Amino acid sequence: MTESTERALRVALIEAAEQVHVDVPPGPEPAAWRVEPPRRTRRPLLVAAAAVLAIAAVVGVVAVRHDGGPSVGPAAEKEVRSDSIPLTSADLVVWMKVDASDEQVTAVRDLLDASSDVESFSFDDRDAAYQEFSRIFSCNPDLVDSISPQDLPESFRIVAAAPETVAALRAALIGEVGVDSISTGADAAREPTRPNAGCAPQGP
Amino acid sequence: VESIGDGGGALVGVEDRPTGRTSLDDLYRDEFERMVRLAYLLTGSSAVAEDLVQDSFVRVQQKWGSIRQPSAYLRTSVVNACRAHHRTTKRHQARFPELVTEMVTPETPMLLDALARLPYRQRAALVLKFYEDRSEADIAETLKCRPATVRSLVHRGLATLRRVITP
Repeated sequence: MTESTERALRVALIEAAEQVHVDVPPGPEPAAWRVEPPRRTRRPLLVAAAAVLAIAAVVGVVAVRHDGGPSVGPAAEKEVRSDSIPLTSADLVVWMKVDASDEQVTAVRDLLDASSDVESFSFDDRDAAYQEFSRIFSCNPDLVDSISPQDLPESFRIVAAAPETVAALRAALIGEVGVDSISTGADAAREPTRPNAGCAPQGP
Repeated sequence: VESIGDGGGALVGVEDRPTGRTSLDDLYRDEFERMVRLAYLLTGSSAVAEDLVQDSFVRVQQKWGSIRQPSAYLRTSVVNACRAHHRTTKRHQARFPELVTEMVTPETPMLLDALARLPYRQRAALVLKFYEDRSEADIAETLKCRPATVRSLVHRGLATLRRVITP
């Protein structure tokens, strides 16, 4: 069945794509093809290493200051878009370890989806964290250049079904492999709020 | 069109470009149509697809001096642009459900209809794998995720499609 589905999909995609009539428009005028000089080479490993160390210190900042942005499309029944649950509305925020595997993330997602203690949850992926990281450290492009989305943790924001279920939910999640820490949304929201937090102390 | 980009050492790495493809306008000529078809499969609209691909070429142009793999950068840019479009459409759909319709049309094959209703990353993974014939590593790079995630996205996407096409 899988092979037949794959074949059918492949044929359907090709046929659909072929239905599109594409006239390649003339490209921009040659003068518009401005070639920028190559960016200067990244600083050597020392800076990259320092940046990675800095991440540990600012992960909380990145996470707590993130109030939206890209997200994986809802994949579970209770999962909503990442910008659907403001930080202050989250009963719990679950930080995954940076090296958490996809299976571990999926296990947490499945647990949340199956739990009657959960009303809804959202997932912030590495790209979302990276966007926020880039914004926070916009004054330090070398640092931003040294980091990739894979260096940042993913997280879940959870709205509990009822206030009295939060404690049980936290207890269930803290034992999950790949979970780094759990905080309340309110606690997270009390973290640094000044503009460009991290830029001054993390500058070169 | 004047050929540019192959002088002055402005190009950094041309490993994904066959011999002779050394300019931005070559890339435009060679990739535009294919990218529009890809974007069409991801958005369901040829007009939107063309706009997004044009925008993506502008981004490539702006980064031309520093990107190492223009084709891969372009593909990622197109997929990201489609994702942004998808999100915007979903938001509008949520706010104005009577005004924003699904991208499918009556003549849309059932399978593509089902594909259009998948979460975006599942759809993108399936299109990149089964239309573009991209490897898991390529898809992972494009979607900024791990190969294992790609396998999961493809698996879940196919599972959904099977449920749709199986009576």
